[in-house]
Amino acid sequence: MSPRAERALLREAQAGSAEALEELFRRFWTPAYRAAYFVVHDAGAAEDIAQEAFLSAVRSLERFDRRRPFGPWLNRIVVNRAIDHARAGALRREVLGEWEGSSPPEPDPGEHDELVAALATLPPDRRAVVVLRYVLGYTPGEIAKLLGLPRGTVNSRLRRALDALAGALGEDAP
Amino acid sequence: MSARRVEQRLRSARAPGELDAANRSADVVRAGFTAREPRPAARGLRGRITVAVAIALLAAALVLSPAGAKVAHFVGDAFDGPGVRHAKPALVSLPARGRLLVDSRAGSWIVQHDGSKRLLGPFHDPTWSPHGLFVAAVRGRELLAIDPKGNVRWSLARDGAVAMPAWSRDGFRIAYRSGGALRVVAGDGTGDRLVARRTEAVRPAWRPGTRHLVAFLASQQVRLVDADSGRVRWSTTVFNTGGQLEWAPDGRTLVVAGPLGLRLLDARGHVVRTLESPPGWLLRNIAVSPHGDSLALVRQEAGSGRSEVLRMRLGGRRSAPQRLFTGAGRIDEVEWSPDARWLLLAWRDANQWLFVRSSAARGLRAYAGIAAAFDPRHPHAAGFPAAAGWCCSR
Repeated sequence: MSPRAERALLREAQAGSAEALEELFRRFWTPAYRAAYFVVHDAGAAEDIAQEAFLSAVRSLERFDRRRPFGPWLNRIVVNRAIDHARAGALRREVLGEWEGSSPPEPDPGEHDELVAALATLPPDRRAVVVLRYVLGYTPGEIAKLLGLPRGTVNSRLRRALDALAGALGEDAP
Repeated sequence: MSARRVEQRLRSARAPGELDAANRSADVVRAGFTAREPRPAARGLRGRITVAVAIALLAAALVLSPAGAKVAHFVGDAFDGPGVRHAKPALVSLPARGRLLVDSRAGSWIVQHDGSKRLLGPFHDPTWSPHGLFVAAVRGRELLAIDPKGNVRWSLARDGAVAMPAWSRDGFRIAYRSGGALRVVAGDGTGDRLVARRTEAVRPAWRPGTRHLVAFLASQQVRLVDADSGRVRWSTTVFNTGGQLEWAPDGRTLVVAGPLGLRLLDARGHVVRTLESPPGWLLRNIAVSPHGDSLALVRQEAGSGRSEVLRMRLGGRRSAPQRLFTGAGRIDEVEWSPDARWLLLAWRDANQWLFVRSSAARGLRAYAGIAAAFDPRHPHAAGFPAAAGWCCSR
C-alpha cells in the first residue's frame, strides 16, 4: 500500500469508517500477531498482545498523526509489549512455581520450523530485534528508533542473535 | 546461518492459529471501534492546534482534579468496548439442561433451559436447595424459603441484616449470616440457633457427605463446626481471606479463595496446597466443578483491567492451569453447568453472558443486553445481575 493510500485509509478510519478499520486490521494484524508470537512463543499471549495493541491504536486513532506510517507505530507497541511479556514470564515462573499466569508455552501442533524453535531460545531482547529486522523488514536504524536504542546496540544484538541461531541449528556462523 | 537465510525462513514461517486468532481479535477490535466516539476532523493547522490544546487541558484536568480519576476511568471505558461483537442480542437458551438462579436489582429470577425466566419476587442473595425444589433468599432482615413459582413457604425475621444463606446438602438445614453472626435454621424454618458470634462476610459452606458440618471464616480462621451441637471440629489459620469457601463434592477438599490467591484444605483442615495470585492480579471468583475434578477461576489484572478464566485440576496429577477465556474488563462470576460441560461467564463490563466449553473443545455462545433482560430500568453495566447457581439437570 502506498503511503498516500495508507493516509487516506487512516483518515477514513478517523472519521468513523468501519470499512477502513477492517482494511487496517486486515493489513496489519497478522504481521503483528506473527511478530508477537516469534518473540513470546506463546500463541495465546501473542493473540492478547496483538489484540491489545490494536485496541490501543483504535483508542488513539483521533490523535494519530497521519503523516507517520501506521505499521511501525503499531509494531512498536506490539514488540515492546511482547518483550515485557517475555521478561515477565520468566519472572513469574520463578516467583509462582506451579501456578502460571497461563499454560506454559508448549510447542504448538503444526510448528515444525527449527528456526522458530531456535529463536525461542534467545533472550527476549534479541528475539525482538531479529523479528523487527527479518520478519517485519526494518533497517537497524529504524529498529533503533522503534526501541529507543543506540544503533550500535541493535547491530550488536543482531550479530549475536545470528551467531546463536547458527549454533542452535548446528550450522556455521555467517 | 546467513542473515538472508534467516530472513527467508522467518518470512515464510507462520504463527499457529492465525486465522482463528484474527477472527477472535477482529470482534474485539470492532467492538472497541464502535464504542469510541469519533471526533469531527479538525480544519487545517489551527484546528489541529486547537484540538491538541483542548486535549492537553482536559488531560491536565483529569489528572489534577479529585474527581479526575473517576472521569478518566469513565473515558477509558467509553473507548474500550469489551465484549463479543456478534453476541446474540438476547438470551435465547441455556446450552445445557438445568435452571439458572439470577440475582438482579429487580429481585431473584429463575431462568429455564429454554431461556424463559420467572421473577420470583423482590428477594436477593438467593441460593438453591439441594435438588432445586426451593430457593432460600433474603428480603431486608428476613430469611425466606420460596418455591420456584415465587410462593413464600416460610420467612424468619431477625434483628440484624440477613445475608448469604447456604442450604445444607441434605436439605434439612440453612446456614446464614445475621449481623456479623452465623446462624442455622431447619429447612422448614424452625429451630433457629446461633452458631458463631463474629464471622467474616463469606458465605458458609456445608461439607458434603456429613451430617451437618459447616465451614465458615472468623478471625482469619477457617472453622468447621457441627451446626447441631456447636462443637468446633477444627480451625485453621489462613491469611488474606475474604472471598469464598467451596467444598469439592466428595467432601475431601475445601477451597478457601481470596483476592490474593487460594488454599486447598483437606477434610481435617490441613493446608495441602497454596496458590498465590501473580503480581498485579486479583482472584475474583471460583467454582468447583460438579464432578469435583476441576476448579474454574476468574482473575483480573489490576493494570490493564483484563480478565482471565482458567481451569485447573483438583487432586490427581498437578498440571498448569488451562486458560479458557480472556477478555477486557471485569468478569464477575463463573458457574458450571450441571453436566460440567459448560461454564457461564458473567461479563459485567461487556453486559454479556458467555457460555464457554469447559474442555479443550471449542465452543462459545455470547448473549448481550443481560442487564436489561433482568431489570429494564437499569440496562447497563451498573444493573448487571449476579449469577447465583446453575442447578439440576433433572
